[in-house]
Amino acid sequence: MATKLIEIKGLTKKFGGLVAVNDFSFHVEKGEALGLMGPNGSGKTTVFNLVMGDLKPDSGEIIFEGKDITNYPTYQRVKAGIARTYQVPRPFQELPVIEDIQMSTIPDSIMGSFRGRAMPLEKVAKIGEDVGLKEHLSMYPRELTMGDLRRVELAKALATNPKIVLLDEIFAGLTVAEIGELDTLLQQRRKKGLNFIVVSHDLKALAPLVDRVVVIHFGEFIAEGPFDKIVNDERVKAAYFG
Amino acid sequence: MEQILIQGALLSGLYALIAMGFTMIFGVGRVLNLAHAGYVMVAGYSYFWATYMMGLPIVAGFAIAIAVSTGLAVGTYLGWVRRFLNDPTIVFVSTFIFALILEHVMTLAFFRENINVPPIVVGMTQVMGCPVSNNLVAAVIASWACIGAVLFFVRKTHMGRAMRALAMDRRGAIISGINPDMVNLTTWAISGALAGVAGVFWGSYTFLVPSLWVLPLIMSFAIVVIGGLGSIEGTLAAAHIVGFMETATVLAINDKLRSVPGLVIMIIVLLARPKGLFGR
Amino acid sequence: MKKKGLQKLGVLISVVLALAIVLPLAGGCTAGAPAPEEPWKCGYIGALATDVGRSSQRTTQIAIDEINAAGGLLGRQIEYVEADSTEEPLEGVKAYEYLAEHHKVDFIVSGCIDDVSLGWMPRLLEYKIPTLDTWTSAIRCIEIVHDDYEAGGKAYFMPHMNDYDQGAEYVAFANDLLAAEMGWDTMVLYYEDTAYGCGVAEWVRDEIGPGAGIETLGEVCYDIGTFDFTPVYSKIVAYDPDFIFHICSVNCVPPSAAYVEMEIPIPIFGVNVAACSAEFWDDMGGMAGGFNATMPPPTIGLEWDPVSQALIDKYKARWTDRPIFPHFNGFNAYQGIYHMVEAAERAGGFEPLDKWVKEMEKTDQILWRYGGHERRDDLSPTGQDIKWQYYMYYGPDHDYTHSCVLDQTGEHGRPGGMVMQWKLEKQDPLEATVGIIHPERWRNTEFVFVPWIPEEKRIQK
Ligand SMILES: Nc1ncnc2c1ncn2[C@@H]1O[C@H](COP(=O)(O)OP(=O)(O)OP(=O)(O)O)[C@@H](O)[C@H]1O
Ligand SMILES: [Mg+2]
Repeated sequence: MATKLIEIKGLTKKFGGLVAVNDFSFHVEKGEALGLMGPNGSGKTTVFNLVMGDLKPDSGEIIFEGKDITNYPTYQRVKAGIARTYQVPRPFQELPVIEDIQMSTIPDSIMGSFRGRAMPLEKVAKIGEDVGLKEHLSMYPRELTMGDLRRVELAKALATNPKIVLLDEIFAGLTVAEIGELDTLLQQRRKKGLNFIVVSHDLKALAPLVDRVVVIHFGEFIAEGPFDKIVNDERVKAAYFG
Repeated sequence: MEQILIQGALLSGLYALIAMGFTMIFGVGRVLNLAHAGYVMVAGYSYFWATYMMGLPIVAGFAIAIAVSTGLAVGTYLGWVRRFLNDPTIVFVSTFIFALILEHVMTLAFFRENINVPPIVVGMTQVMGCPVSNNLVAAVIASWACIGAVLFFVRKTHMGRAMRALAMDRRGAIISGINPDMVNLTTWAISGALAGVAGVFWGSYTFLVPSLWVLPLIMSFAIVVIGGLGSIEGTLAAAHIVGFMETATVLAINDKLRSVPGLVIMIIVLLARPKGLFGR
Repeated sequence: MKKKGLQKLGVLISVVLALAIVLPLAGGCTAGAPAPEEPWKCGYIGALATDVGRSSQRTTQIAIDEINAAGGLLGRQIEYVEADSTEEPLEGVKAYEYLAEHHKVDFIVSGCIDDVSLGWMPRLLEYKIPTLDTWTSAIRCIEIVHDDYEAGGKAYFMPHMNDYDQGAEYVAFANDLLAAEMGWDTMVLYYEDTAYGCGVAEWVRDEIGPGAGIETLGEVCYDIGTFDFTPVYSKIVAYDPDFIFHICSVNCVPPSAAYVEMEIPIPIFGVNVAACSAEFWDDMGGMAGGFNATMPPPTIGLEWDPVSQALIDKYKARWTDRPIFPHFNGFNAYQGIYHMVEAAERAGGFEPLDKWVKEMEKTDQILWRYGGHERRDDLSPTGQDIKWQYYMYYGPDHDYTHSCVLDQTGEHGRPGGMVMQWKLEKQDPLEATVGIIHPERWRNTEFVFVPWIPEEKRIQK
């Protein structure tokens, strides 16, 4: 029974007259990596925003590890083990990379501000190195390339010690070599039990990473299944190219 | 000239202390708490009540003043402002009304007469041939100690980092797992405590009257606009610009023009560099 | 749980704050039961949050309660209503109009400061309501009464000496104490930048200097918003005068406190309104020792006649918050209301105005020091009771129409001004803490210097 890590039920979000997400449901099994596919403007980022609590749904439920977290504030979802990266990276402009990553590890109490420990910098550095930021740890965001900024996003998400990470267009703007490195890294993490939901236009990068794909179109669920089957699905083809 | 330098440095220190709490709240929560200067005024009265009327020791007076102003700040945040963090206008207007309410309450309790707070440190010292009251020197030393403590807190502790994170990017901070409510509450509490210390010293430097909050409010406002809303470094720099200009104006031109230079600089900054000297 | 608790605390604080503003507003709304016969209405106007305003506000109520208890005025009770003028002239005009038009009062008692009284003077000419003005001594008010007497000015009475008559007493003080007794002959004129401060300063400059042979070495005028007096006193000390003549009415505590904190080595005299209040000691945070001030009588520190003493007793029994002791306007309001009511009794009411004014102008009241209706040889050096307080209003022919008659010879008893001084150490909040140092015949204590005045700065003779 308790095989579902996260379950989204009937999620709906309207922006004025526009229904960005419409009665959308899917789930992620424990140990699974899920791809979320859909053409531009189909509502993928909005789904992430809803899952993170960046937006409030008009209706629907979000169940994480059996708990209804629909009304949790964002930071509690983070504490519970959900993390995300942003499509447009948003690092703290005034902090060097290593302190930015460390921010994700600070304890959540006033007393903790003196005694409780944030992750020591050596360990933070390790997270940075893992995503390929070894050379960049003391740099500021304005000195970094888009590829590096995406790595910072990922490192920050990983530093919150999540059970599941929502990756929004993590490969966009990266070179082929960089994509390869990142893919490898994510697969390693998966083996250690980390779950993902991945949004990407880059189907090549996506393919080896995900067990299963859910397709969204105009905010609605249209298909679900293994990657190979889905890319040949007529409805999906219609949605992408029609 | 010496007098302008000495008096200016001292006044600036006090201004910096008062404006600091004001700027922190804006930095972290993106709202202006105009009641801040009201806490300063109430803290001054609390200290007077405790030390002179109740005969308690100075330390107890400080503790009570700080407790009262911190309580007011925390109360304002939890009881009201917290709901309106995404509507700065409501907060701006309602905290101004809170300050007026505080003035009315203090008028009921202490009336509208001026009250002198006995100096915490007595006597005068000659510095470069100018008389300077030891009390003011003590006030400024204490101000700098508080400012130093706050800088330490903001730079070196986790909660301080969380405050800076929230100030830089609210969503970014939240997605890092920071509880914005807790950080805001802490900021309001610290800002209230600063108002407490500032109230005791400002009250003993000037005098107590229920409208005591008006001048510090105008000055803090000018200072944080000049320094860059939310910037602590900017606040420190702007407090000195305003403090020295004011002292020079009072001593060299006319004491009626006291608050003019601060406001003029504020307008110039608003026109020439709207985000302030240190604003981002 | 913690969070909920905090939230409740926040709500609680907000509620208390809200109640704190609403309650006092509600307090003023209690309406009295309708009297069997239409009562007279007495309107009080003053700054109800200040000691000055509250002094005559309270004694007005005492006087009216006494009169009502004794059967009222011409068999009708007097109803008391009030309006807050604050210290803003515009608010004062509104308050005066409110009393006249909403309450349609029969007479008005005012405890307003100069600027506020001057603000509603035109309204007085318009409504012609008998008005007793108990705080201001502004000569400008009296000029209006004199010049526009028939136009309505005659409805105005000032139950104490105007500025010029008070000033005459200051010259006497400078002559007797500062010049003759101390042997001083130089001063610095130090005054606040208000109409009152500049007006009195002008007067002191023109009269005291030449009158008492005292040279003014310099003048220092300061803004009433000043909170750091270090540079101000530096300027004064640089002149090195024999004494400082200080004039302040609005903002007296800060310059006084700075004088003590800086231990200015020059004696200070003059007009200091705050120093005449019983709260001065506490307002100064206990640093009031040695301060002196010139004021119209009665003032704290004076010995009391039985009538005034009875008023004080009633006052203290009824109110314990500040002012714990009324300013001079409290006494003059109390007596003045009796003058008004007795005149109305003789004239058959307040209308027609002419008739009432004629009767009011006949006021001639003496308060005997020992209440002496009979001569008591043991009580005074001259073998008879002493005329202690004296009330009589100048008529329309005198320049100072309807302000109180000055009597400098002592024949009638009442001086235009007195100088009181706080003892160096507080003993009792009221008793023996303050004494009168001038004029001679009221003196009950010797002038003392504050300890930091150096020997060579003391007596020059
Ligand atoms: N805050 C908002 N207010 C109004 N409309 C919005 C908002 N956010 C998204 N939308 C609209 O909702 C729809 C879905 O947007 P969303 O960003 O979720 O799509 P997406 O699938 O992430 O697209 P992309 O592939 O371009 O990232 C779009 O039409 C978008 O314009
Ligand atoms: Mg998107």
